[in-house]
Amino acid sequence: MLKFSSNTFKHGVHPPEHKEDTNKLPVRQFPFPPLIVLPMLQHIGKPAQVIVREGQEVARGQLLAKADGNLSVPMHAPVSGIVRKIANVPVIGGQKASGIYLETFPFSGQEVVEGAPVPLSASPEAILQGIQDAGIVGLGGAAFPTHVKLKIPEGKFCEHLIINGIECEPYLTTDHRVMLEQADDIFTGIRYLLRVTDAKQVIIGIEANKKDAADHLADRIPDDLPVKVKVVPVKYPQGAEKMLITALLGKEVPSGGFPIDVHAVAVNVATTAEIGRLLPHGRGIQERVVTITGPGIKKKGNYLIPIGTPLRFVLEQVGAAENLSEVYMGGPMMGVSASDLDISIVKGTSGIVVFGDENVKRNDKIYPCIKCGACVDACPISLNPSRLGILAKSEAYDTMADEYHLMDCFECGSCSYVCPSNIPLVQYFRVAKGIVRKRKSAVAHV
Amino acid sequence: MFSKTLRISSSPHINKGVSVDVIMRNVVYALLPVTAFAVYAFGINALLVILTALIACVMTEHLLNKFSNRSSTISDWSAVITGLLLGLTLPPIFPLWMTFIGGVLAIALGKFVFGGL
Repeated sequence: MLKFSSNTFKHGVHPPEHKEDTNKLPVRQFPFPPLIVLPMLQHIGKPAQVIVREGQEVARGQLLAKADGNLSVPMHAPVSGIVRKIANVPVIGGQKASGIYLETFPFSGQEVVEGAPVPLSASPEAILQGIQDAGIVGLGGAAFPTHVKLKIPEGKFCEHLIINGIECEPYLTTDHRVMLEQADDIFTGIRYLLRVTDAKQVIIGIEANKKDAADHLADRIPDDLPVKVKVVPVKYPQGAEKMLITALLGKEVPSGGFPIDVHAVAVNVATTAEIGRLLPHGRGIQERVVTITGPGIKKKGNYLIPIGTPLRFVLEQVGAAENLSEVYMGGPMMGVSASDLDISIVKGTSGIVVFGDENVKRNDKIYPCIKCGACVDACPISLNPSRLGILAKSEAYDTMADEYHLMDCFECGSCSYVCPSNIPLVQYFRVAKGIVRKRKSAVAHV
Repeated sequence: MFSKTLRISSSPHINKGVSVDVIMRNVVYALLPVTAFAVYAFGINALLVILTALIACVMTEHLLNKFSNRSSTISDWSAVITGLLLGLTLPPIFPLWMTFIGGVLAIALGKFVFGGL
């Protein structure tokens, strides 16, 4: 049944994996921190609206903030405690955003309050509503509200439901552990997803370095589900949904299009497990699995951490090296480096990678482009990063967008990873994309 | 604990580690057999031409860096390649003073005025 597929996408890179430190370690419950710092915007879209008052006692799992419109998700209390303050809290970019400080009851049993269950027999609309009410977003890192992604647009249909268990980021092993430990939740989640998308078949895509997880899931497929497990070769960035669709279905999502244009919907495997775990109990997300690893960490592992746990508390608990130099939220390829240890774990935090002083061996000297073409060979969507980089330097942003498909770039970092001249191509593209978007919206508002 | 300021950087935070100087050095290695054969086939004259071009290029690079207050770029091997390639393309009986001027101009005009490696 389990076949090794030679199918993959074109180009891509092979960064060292470093997964062996944590992929054998079972998920462990992390201690509750004395203070939870909960930003209201942990997803793509509008921030959640706070519905509790300062000084109010809340139970674990209770709704703290409701969704603001469709492109938004609610926020639940990760611990039982007292709302100390509703104020701006530090977030990853270095700025501050609206949020809640929640003081944990030290001796509480931390039982979870449950809401109205969403049964499998509910209508697809009710399940979508249930997914939004549970505060579920893409747990792979993008944190896009899952119910928005699952809503099939008028006139389109979904044939393939793709469960993304690729986890191509180096160091991270959260999805790996979730697949090994939460198989039942994953299949329950798939049942819910099938109800919503009405897909004909389900493919669980897993990279060859997680063969144990693939075997584990393949052995447990319920007879009544049209599920296949497909093992694909290890390559970064296969976990990007458009790359995965090419790898599994052999079809390319059109430029500027969505997976539904090739009749597919892709959902991260941890997100699927969360749907299967939360919906039958009417719960909301209170915690997530986070891989904490990197050369600067003593107690590496996969931990179930309450959302909103401050980074400083996390690092103290796992014995981070005192000379830590860089802390990445997410993997080293697409993760964002933390500027401040007072930020907290959010729904999109799939891993924390810590590098000490001696591990950051970056050559800061940027050489001129030598036109070697390594980036062109690396780009998974066949852009020309070299040319784009030269255009970015001369600030020809409109040319980049109109003639060189800048907006298709999803910032996987493959081009910067291979660049021998250390040119920060992805950073150039990020800036350029921001400027192009601003110009477009300025034109739209005239 | 953790009193140190964190370093922040833009993703990706890792690099393949094949940098320009490594590539350039590999090019030099690749040119060595050709150079050896050139000397074998054309004798000492060829060696003199190649050496003159090499010395002219590296010296010009060093002096121009010094006068324009830039950090030394000798170690990226690109001047060595320029010198080697120039020397290899010239006829073995070429006057050395012309070779020398060629090397100086290659670096001064080709590299310092117009940029690039």
